[in-house]
Amino acid sequence: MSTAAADLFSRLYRTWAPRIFNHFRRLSWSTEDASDLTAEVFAVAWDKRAEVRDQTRIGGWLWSIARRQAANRVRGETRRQQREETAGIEAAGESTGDGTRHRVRRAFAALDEDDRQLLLWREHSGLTYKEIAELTSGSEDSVRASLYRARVRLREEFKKRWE
Amino acid sequence: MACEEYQKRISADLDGELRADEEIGLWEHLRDCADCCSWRRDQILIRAEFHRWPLEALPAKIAEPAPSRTRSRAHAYRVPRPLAWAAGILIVVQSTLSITSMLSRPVETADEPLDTNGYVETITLTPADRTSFTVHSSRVPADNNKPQRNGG
Repeated sequence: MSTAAADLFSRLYRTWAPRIFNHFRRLSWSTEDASDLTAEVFAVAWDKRAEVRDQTRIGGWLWSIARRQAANRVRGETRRQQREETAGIEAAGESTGDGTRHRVRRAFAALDEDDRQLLLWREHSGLTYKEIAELTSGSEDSVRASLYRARVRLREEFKKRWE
Repeated sequence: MACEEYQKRISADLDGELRADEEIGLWEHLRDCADCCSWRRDQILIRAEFHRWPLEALPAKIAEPAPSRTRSRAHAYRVPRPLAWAAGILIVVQSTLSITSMLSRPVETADEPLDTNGYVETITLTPADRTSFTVHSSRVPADNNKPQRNGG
């Protein structure tokens, strides 16, 4: 590995690895699986570094790799109940009496994977509709509509836990 | 316009993706519609919790960058496919040539005088196939078998 390439890789890793790791964690992957997936994303990114033509779009490129890696990996469990339990335990551990946080995380965990991924890309990663549309090979209008529906479902789940 | 349409616009506004023409009538509607107002308030509340969700630190095993750390280790250092094919073909051709060459050349020659009548019998073993040999035998007078000298 040349020094310049190593430096660039190192900078990218420090910027993006925590975000990608946390993205996987919030999609209910275990710490172990999220670690492996994150490492795989950067291994693939390194192998395919020649594909990068525009460095301002590296984020979108990494997210697309992350999406593929997660899709290719067989998850041990996808049951909503288990996700909710995990989210509930984690939220309860951190909330120390903050009911809203607990409910939001449980409501989020109750959503299906597509909704959760979409909300994370928007709320945590700050991707624009255009960037999400590129990732999902859809249109900006479809992203807009999907995000709206995800928010409707999230609110419904949130309300269920409020009452 | 139905509340659902306004809520779609609220969603887009929260994302900073509301178009200017879509703002028309939105704020007036929110002033008058308790449901849409509540919908927006809940979304803001949920979103605030999202943004307060702390990031977990990277586990120690992936804390430092290393491009070939994972299952891609082999992938990262693998031989390019054309080179691997060329090497494979070379090995097959070389093996075939070696076997052919071995099978076609005489492997053993006996060149001993076998009788006392002045003849030398020459026996040559040539591989007939992978498991057997053909025996070629010839008898020549011993004198013919002597090296000839030039000018003698």
